[in-house]
Amino acid sequence: MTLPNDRETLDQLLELYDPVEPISAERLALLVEKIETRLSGDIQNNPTETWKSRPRVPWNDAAFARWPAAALVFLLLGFGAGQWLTPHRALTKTEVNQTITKYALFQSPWQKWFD
Amino acid sequence: MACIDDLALSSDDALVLAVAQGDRRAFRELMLRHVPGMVALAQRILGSHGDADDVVQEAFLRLWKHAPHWAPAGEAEIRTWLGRVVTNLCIDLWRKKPSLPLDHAMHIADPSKGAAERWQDSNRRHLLQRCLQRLPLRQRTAVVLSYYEGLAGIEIAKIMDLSPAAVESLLVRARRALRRDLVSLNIMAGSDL
Repeated sequence: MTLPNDRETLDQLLELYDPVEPISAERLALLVEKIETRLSGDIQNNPTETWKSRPRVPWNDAAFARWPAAALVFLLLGFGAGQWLTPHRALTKTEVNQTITKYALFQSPWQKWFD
Repeated sequence: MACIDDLALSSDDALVLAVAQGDRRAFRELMLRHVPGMVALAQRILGSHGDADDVVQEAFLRLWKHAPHWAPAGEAEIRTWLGRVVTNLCIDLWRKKPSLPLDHAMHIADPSKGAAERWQDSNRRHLLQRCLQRLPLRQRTAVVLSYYEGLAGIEIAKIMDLSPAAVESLLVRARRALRRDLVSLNIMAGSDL
């Protein structure tokens, strides 16, 4: 290898001999194709992009997943409203005794012996 | 979806606005314009074809996602934005997986008779690439952005998230190291030191 001129500076060397050769048309086409393929995959996997165009998969669909949540909220609200609207009264002494007797039947024999 | 009739004549900003509407043709045109430059940038920093391709793919996917939030500000903006993304991705990748030095590069060129000039140029290119790869990552990035991307110190500082003085210091140290290496490889005369 011949030595360059003494006056050849580093700046000139760097500008003259770019270590990277221009990208070939084939490599460019391949790279563009790869990016487009990855882009298509990303759009399919990202529901915020074009979720309407995706095939509907129930367990992976945000719209479908909202229905159970809405039903649960509706049931809870209904239960709360029912509790609030139902008239309440104090239990009589007979009712209290009946309840105690009823549950006493389920106590174990050991419990009765200790009592 | 807004479509642009003549993609080749459209500005980068117009294309990005079309991409924001989901125009795949506009995105393809942007890729054809900027992929070659970005591949060269990534390859100069990383020294590897495969890694450069991966980085550029990721950068363009980010451009697609970022397009709806794009604020037009001039012709050079998209290139600068892509350059910044590619540089940062290169730095991230290098930290995860430092590439091996290109010690085999000398043997790539074909030293056949009649191709001596081409062989010499090719050898110099490969040796220069090897010297660049020997530089620490930040010095190499600063050299690539300064010499091959033609960016000013302030722009490099923005991309690398450093002060302009720090960039200048990196460039001075990089030049010194490069000169030392190039002299030791007989590519450069010692009087230049």
